[in-house]
Amino acid sequence: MASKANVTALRQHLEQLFPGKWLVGQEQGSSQKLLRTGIGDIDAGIVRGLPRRAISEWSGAASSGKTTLLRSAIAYWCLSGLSVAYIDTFSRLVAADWAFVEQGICGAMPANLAPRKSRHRGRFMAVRVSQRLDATRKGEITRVALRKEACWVAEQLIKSALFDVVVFDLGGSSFVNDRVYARLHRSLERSRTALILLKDTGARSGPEGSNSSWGAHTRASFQWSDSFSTREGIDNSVMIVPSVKADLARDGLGQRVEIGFSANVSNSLFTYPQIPDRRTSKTRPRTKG
Amino acid sequence: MLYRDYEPALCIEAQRKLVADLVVSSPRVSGGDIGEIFLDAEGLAYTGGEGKFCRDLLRLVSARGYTESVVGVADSAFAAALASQVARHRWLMIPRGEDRRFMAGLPPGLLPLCDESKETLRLLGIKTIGAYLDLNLDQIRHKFGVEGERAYNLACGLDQFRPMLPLIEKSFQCILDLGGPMESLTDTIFVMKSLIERLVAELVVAGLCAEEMTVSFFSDDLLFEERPIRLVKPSNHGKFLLEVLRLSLEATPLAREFTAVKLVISRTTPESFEQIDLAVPDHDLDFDQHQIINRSAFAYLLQRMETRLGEGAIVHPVPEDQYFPEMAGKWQPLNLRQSINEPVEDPGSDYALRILDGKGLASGLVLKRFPRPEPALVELYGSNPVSITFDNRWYRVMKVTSAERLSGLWWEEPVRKSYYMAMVKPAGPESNVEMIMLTLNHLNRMWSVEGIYD
Repeated sequence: MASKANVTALRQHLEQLFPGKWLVGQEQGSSQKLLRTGIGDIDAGIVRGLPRRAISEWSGAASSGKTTLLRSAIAYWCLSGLSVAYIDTFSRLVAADWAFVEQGICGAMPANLAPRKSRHRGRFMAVRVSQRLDATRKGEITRVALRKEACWVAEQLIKSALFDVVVFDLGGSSFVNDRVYARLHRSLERSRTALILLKDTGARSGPEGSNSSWGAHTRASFQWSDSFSTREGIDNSVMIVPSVKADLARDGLGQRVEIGFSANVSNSLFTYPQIPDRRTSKTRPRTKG
Repeated sequence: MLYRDYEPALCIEAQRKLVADLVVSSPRVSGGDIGEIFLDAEGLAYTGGEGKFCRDLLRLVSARGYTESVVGVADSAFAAALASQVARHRWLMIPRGEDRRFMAGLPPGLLPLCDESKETLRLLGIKTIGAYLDLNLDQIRHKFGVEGERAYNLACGLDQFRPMLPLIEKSFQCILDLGGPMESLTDTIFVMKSLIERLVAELVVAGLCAEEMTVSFFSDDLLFEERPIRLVKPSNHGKFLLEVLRLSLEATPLAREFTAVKLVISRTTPESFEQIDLAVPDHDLDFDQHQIINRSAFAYLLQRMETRLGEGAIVHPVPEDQYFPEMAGKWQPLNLRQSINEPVEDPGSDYALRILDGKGLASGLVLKRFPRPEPALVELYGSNPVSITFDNRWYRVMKVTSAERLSGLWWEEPVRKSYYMAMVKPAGPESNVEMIMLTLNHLNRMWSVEGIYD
């Protein structure tokens, strides 16, 4: 018991010396709660879910399956009545992929995704930072301005206490340094939000992509597995669904899992779009008196 | 030539001005729907009669530039409005006590009923308002509800609406001449605080909330910046308004120092008495109360975001009636001003959800699009890609789907594309596989990588 108190005191001392680097594990015994992702392989392992009031880090190559897995988790949270905000720093998401996520529909989903039903559905919202800056500011948007705005948005979303989960998509440039980590941590302490940093690593990410962050409570790194399944069409496969390999780490422990997906071919239900009516109006509204 | 919708705000403003001008014709003047103004025409027998009233009115309105005006005179406001709509000349006067008879011959489509009710009347063979009045009132209540009963009363000439004395417009504005140049943000906020405190006090007394503010900065009597700031939710809270101004100044700093500042509450709305309390403990609230609090908190968040990033800062995804993958959805801005929501063509997703239980409704993997498609050099074996070069790297295609060939939009910018989902492996001994969306544009025979699946 005494040794545990000493470790806690040491961590607090180190936190004062190196803000943002030694916060891992300090929430032990506090009111912190884990958000289950609904993905059996993650919830049943050492990670057990994503912690509120803490930072989790999901990383992997630009194409690694991490966002597809995250979408499944978001659909699960929305069905559980939790609200999720996604900071799309580089405005890369496609609306059609996320249009039904609030109804719990997420395309390819982990084969063992837990079923969920709730009386109240959560909301899914996004902030497309680079697109907004392009629209509001003249001239080229510098990377520094984009980073600054994205971090400000993250802080505001956490402070608003409206969202249970905030996903911060950093893309290939890991621009969250230790000071920003510390600032985000302080915002999280006064909220119930779980913050997920989504990072691209590897060749396609920028020169800062290799920067590691030490403030994350839970880390998961993903990559596509070489094994995949296909959905066959008339003369060839119409969809490729690879599995995802995930390396999970928490409190110094690690675990590797492989998560398979089940997916249906998109039904293309949408009708042929209407040709816009561009006939001019023949009558003008009359003023009455 | 394109027909464009009118701007409601401008029309309301023009109508308000016209109402103020028409006070010379009658002391009781009220605006109705856009383009509709009601005047009290009682007691005209000793001032030339209703004919002279109509002539004077039309002359006055024409002098303001509205040359196609029509006057309807009747006992009730609704009958007068219908008279102005069906008049074949510049005015139409319905004799006293004849409102019901006049309206009886008009089509029921003129009654204030929804399209569905009008269609029901058509199917029932009711071709005039008179035939509608022949129906039993209980039957009308049962079939058309409150709306039908109100239409019935109006058709009988029972209209409670009466023109009122026009309200005096009050402007809320403050000007502060500093007597010297000022540049720092802190000092500017301090100045703004005093202006806002004064205006907020006036707004509270008048029972109003600000909907839009306009702040103007002068340098030696020269206006160099005017900044309208639209609020996501009407407010007369000084702290909130000051916060909005501060965010605006932080997001777009002033280009130069200023010597005078003018703050105008350019649009107001009657005060709502909804509680704004963000600090209520969770366990004391039920879901509906949570919703109210969250709406208020969300309004504050949205205002902060919009002030800094511009309108439409927070979006949510909605499906759209289109089958091209990149166009089958739309990011729709979330806003609390429902009137400016952009219409989206609903592809009948509720039906699809019910029938298919959501299977296949969303795409397989999550696509992350590049800012612009990356041109790719593709090596083919037959018609199938076997290797790709893009982004200065060479990739071997491990597996590729058959092409999904889509075309359309010939009335805007024609699209003819083949979409492939490819599993590729970059050159190198320890490279991981990647999933990409590969497209062939048949119009210019160009291969591109639209994005990666993550």
